Amino acid sequence: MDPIFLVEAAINGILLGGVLALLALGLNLIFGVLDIVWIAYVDLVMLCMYAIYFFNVAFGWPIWAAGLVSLAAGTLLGVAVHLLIISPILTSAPINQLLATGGLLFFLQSAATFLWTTDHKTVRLSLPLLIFQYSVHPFFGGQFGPLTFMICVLGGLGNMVGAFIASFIMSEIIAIGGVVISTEMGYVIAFVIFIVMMFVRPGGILAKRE
Amino acid sequence: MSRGRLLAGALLALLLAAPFVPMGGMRQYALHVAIQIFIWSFIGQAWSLMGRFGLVSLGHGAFLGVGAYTTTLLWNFYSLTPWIGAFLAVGAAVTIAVVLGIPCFRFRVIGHYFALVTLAVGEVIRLLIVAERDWTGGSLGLTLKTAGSDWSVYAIQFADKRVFYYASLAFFLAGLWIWDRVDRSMARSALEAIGEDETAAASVGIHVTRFKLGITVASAAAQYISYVNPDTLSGIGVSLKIVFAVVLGGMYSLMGPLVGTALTTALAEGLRIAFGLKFLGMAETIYGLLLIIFIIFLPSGIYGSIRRVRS
Repeated sequence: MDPIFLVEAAINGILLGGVLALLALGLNLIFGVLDIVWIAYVDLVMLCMYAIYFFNVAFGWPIWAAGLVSLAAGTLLGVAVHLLIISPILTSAPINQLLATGGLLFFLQSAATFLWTTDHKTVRLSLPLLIFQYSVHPFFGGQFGPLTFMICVLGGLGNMVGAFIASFIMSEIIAIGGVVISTEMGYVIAFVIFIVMMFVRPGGILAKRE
Repeated sequence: MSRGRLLAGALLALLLAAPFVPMGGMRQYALHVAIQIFIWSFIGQAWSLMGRFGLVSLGHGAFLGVGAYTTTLLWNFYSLTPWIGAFLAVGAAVTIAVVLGIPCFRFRVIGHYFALVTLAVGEVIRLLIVAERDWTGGSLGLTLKTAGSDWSVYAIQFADKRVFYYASLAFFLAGLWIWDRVDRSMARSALEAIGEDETAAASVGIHVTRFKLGITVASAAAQYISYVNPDTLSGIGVSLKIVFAVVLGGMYSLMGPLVGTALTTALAEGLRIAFGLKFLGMAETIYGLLLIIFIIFLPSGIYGSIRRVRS
């Protein structure tokens, strides 16, 4: 194989790593402060991406205004989810918290499918924000959600530096594995490494060996 | 004989006689729905057997996929009878359960971590099935090769759905029996102790690792035997569907999975008949909403809550 493909894959990996690091940063913040498993986190990000899309492309707002509105909408949604779903179960078993936010994931994903069908929607601009790199579709959360979650655990829950490093490790494996073998196998290798790391270093990559 | 037993006996007789009630063209459809309910409740039972002890698996779809694909591929490519294929499928599922289970329990991967590891395993299996598209048909799936006759014991293919009805009913009842046995045996107190406090149980001298592993293998293996003719496969969607039905019905009660599965199946079928494919995603939207409401207000499920109120 031409080495130029590998270089290209490595650069793609860095770009993907940045996206994952951004997602992991937000999720880690919730972990660090609340100690709650917000498995539907990336689905809220998906809703914000839809908001940018609709305000910018459908209503013709300038991109910065669409971004601000989506930010506000995201904040409101986050507060609403916290008050309606998280508060009542703050004291219940961790498993229940996981299942409740899992229900939210199911709900948001299907509601998006129901409302906006499974079409991919893209804003045509070249700014380094998420929606400019990736098109938004109802299964965005399903695609990035589990991965973001694993990165947070891999980096050590609440450990920002660890999550940052873990993002780039995972993204490089996915990007290079995807070019050398196949897209699916890139993810398979990344997930297998996650599973093995859970056994070897349950406290995260930066944790001290017991 | 107590009233409860009499009632259960009458219900069983009704279920056994049901396929012979003349319903005209509706019979095949009614039987199809009943078979779905029995199979998925059985899988739900297997899941809740672990879930009750704090081992929430989000990767049961992985075992389901491995089992279903092993039998199907062996039949399609080597014409190996599912009677043997099913044994090999159980072997494959158990192997994965053990390979995953030993380190999980040795390194005490529990709670969130256990859920995440099983989630990753489910994704790995799903991606592998997609990646091996030359064999498995990728994401399009694979149709089971027909045996060429309406009644083939060798291929376990029968045009008459009544055969599958009785088979799935038998598996469902076997599942109830296993759960009842697990409940009654010493394992009950031991496992409940594990769910609450690992160290306390360990100090009483119970071998934590062996018990947990036994449950994992039992629940993974059990569901494979039932899965004779696969039409639904691996992935996180399937895993969540199992979890949802069980939580809805009641995770901690014997009949919970049945009640939950019957309700979700009725909901899905009802929406499908009422709206067709027009409202894609509608059923799942309602599922998700109900799941949140149930976790917050009725964590022990519909059936579990009714029982609690009565007693």
